Amino acid sequence: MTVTRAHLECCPSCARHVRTDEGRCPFCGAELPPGFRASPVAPSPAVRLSRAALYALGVGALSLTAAQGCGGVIAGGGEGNDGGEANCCPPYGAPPPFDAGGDGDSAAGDAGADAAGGDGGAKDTGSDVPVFPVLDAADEDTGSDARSDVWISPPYGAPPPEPLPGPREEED
Amino acid sequence: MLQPRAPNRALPIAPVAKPGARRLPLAPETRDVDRRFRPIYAVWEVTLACDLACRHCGSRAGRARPDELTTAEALDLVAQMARLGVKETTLIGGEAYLRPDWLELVRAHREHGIPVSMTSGGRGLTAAMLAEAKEAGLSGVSLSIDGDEATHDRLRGVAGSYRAAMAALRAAKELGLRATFNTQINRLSSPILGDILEAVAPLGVRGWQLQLTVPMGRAAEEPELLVQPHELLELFPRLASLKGRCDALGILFWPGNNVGYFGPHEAVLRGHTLRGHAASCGAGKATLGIEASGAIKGCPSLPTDRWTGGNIRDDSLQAIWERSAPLRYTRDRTVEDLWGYCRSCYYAPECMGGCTWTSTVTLGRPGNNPFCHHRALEMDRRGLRERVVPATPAPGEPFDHGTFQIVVEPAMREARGNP
Repeated sequence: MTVTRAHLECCPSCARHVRTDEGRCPFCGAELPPGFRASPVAPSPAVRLSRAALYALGVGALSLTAAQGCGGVIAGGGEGNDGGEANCCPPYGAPPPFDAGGDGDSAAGDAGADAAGGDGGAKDTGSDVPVFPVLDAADEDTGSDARSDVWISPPYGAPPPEPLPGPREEED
Repeated sequence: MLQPRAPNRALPIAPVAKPGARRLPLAPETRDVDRRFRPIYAVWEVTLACDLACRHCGSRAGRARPDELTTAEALDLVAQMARLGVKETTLIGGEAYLRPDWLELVRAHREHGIPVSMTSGGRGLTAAMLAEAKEAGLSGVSLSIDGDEATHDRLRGVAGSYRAAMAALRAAKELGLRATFNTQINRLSSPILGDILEAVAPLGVRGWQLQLTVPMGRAAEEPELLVQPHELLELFPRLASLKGRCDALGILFWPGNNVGYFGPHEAVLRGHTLRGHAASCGAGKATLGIEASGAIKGCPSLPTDRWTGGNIRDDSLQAIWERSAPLRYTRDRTVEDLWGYCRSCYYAPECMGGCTWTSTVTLGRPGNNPFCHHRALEMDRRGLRERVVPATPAPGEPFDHGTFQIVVEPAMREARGNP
């Protein structure tokens, strides 16, 4: 069996995640608006990122989708995030609860430090740390679980991500 | 609701772990898919020695393993982690600070450019120790806070452990370490999660990680502690509300890998992720678990016997990561490897049964996870609910588990106040 990775967006009616090839929400029955199928897919980073960088990217994407009404679908959510039943997207511009940019660095900076992969093999960045690419989209429709998951599921006791490290003097 | 009572355990209550498995088979070749995945985040049990006696401890920590890595071996492992591309490590135990050379390991991480934090129960973690650790390069510490004082001390098995943990959290903050806390969700702590947050928030913490207590190790012997699958219907709206409260307090709400999946609050709880929702288990794909004996797993929580890919004394970290069957598991499986409810779930391609650890220690194998909000909602829609009951006992060794059976029964909606 070949399983195509679903692209999921929030139903504007019930906030459940729904495949974007659905015409109606399978959970609440609401007809999904025309823009639903055109919802932008969150891009997978082309490089390996730390948890902090992934978090920063996620928060950035969150702000973007909130500004767009959750991918052009959700317009609600209100000013405050009260955890309400249908609050698909936290409010636009909600800052990360801690400075994911850490010591003056940024996700982009961290990504840049790692950005050497992407063409199918390890590359030497000049440091001792090899950089490996994540899967590209063509690798995803294999039916296996081997995909470029950008969600690092926190094991038990794992604290939230470290702030991004400052520039490494000894590298590059 | 269970009532907390005074702890009544004597230390140590742990058996001595059997030596780690050695010379495990590796595949002869590395495949492309094995090269594509590299560990981003490592969680390292540096010793199994512990000064607490937690009722939910999956590793039955207490006594050090008989074959823990030497300092030289551990330092070499740090170098191998750096070469493999590990970007962050969290030291755990037991209690990491009970390993005499733990600060050397912290320094080694710093020298290799790997940010390192620790997760601790905090009973013996003094301000002086934290100051030394910060000097060595420790960037953050997460303290386990599992209730109010009575509840926490009952769960941790030692009177005074709550005050010690709170003192350690306070000291960490005062030293400028990034201070966070983590909480087990079980039938003792669940009703008071909001109280826990309000008690800890004034200390200036930056994040809160929550995990469901699962039946592994000692928790397998106390099934009455477990939140039942149908009770997730009540829990998740409260978690969403707590997320809102954390936002207001400036605390990062960080649901763990077994808090899920894909219910109506998913976008609230995991809005910080790039896709805005959970993905499948990251064991062996992005996460790396290390036991003090040098055993390598895809996730630190996974049971030792089934999920150890190899030992660092026998093979390199890279070889184990790339060529051991247990670490390849999540890279190779398909939806057809799922079973039970998860096999035909709407979210199966994305979720793949959620947390491998939770499924394995509950039902004996991965791929069917009853601790799922979406599943509970679907059951409820059909007028049903699921409950897990013990079937076979855990043998009593570190990282062991028994098995549970799922009982599907009519939902008792009146008891929950639903129409």
